[in-house]
Amino acid sequence: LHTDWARWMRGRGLEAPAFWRANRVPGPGGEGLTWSDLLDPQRVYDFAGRVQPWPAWLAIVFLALGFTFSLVLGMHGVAQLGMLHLPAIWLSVLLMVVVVFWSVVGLALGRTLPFLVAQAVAPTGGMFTFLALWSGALWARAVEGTWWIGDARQVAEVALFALNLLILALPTLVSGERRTDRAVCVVAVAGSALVAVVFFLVDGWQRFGAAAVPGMLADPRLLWPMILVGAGLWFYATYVALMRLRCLIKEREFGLSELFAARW
Amino acid sequence: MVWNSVGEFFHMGGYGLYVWGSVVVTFGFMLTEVLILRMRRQAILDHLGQARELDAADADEDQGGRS
Repeated sequence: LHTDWARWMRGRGLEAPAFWRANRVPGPGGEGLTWSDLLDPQRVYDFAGRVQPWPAWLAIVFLALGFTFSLVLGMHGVAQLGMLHLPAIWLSVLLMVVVVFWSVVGLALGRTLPFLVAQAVAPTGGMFTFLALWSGALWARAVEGTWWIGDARQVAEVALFALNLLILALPTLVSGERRTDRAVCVVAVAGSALVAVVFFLVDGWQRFGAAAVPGMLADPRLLWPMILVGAGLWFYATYVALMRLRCLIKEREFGLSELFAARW
Repeated sequence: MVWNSVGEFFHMGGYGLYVWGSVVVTFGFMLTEVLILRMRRQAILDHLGQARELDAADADEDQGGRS
């Protein structure tokens, strides 16, 4: 698996993406920009610093658009609560998929940078999992009169939160950078499979027993404002992940990983 | 628009506590995360700055010893 990835891409006539070329950082190699530059921590550090403001502004714009849209539509009460709750659930699942994806890429290519991307995304995923649980509890209290419904969604979200906590604890539990990277990969892959199993087990069990909990998207008009808010949260996650990636690259570069292991 | 006053907007049809409780906590967490990351970056830069100063001091001492 540890082939020369850059040569493999070039051999198939695949060029580095235009966005990457347009924002290229002059490196020791001069003008030529190759795929392997995407795996070069120093160049990615500079690149991330250069494009960092964009996702921050896009996040502000999309969040403002989403909430304005929902207010113009006249959404209020519990419907407004769903405006943050459902996008937070989407993000919590999506960011775990991103963590699994990049740590598997890192394992396949045998390079450090994809692992760092995975570890840069993980804490934000954990935060959105907590926010999904928090707003879910408020939603349940407002609609059902109880803080805890215990449907498949909520149970799986708790399992996902536990998985996120475990991933966040790994740098302090495991010694050695390469071992930490591999541990994050294994735990993310196995853990997210387990979360999916939990979801379908509880879902199946409850369908077997009683009627399923009705969906939260009571009003279909809510979908578009929600997608805008979801996009805003996604750009926010990108911004924060870029910031954290830059910190992680510097920490690895100067051997500070042990010193800063407990920082998220 | 369905609101006739600011108070009605914050009341959120009786669900104000739940809606604003969710909104404030979400945006509070997001802002806190950005602040934490800025502090983390600053901590790294401070650490590296100190390391660089120490290196420079060591280099001076070495030179002083040699001359």
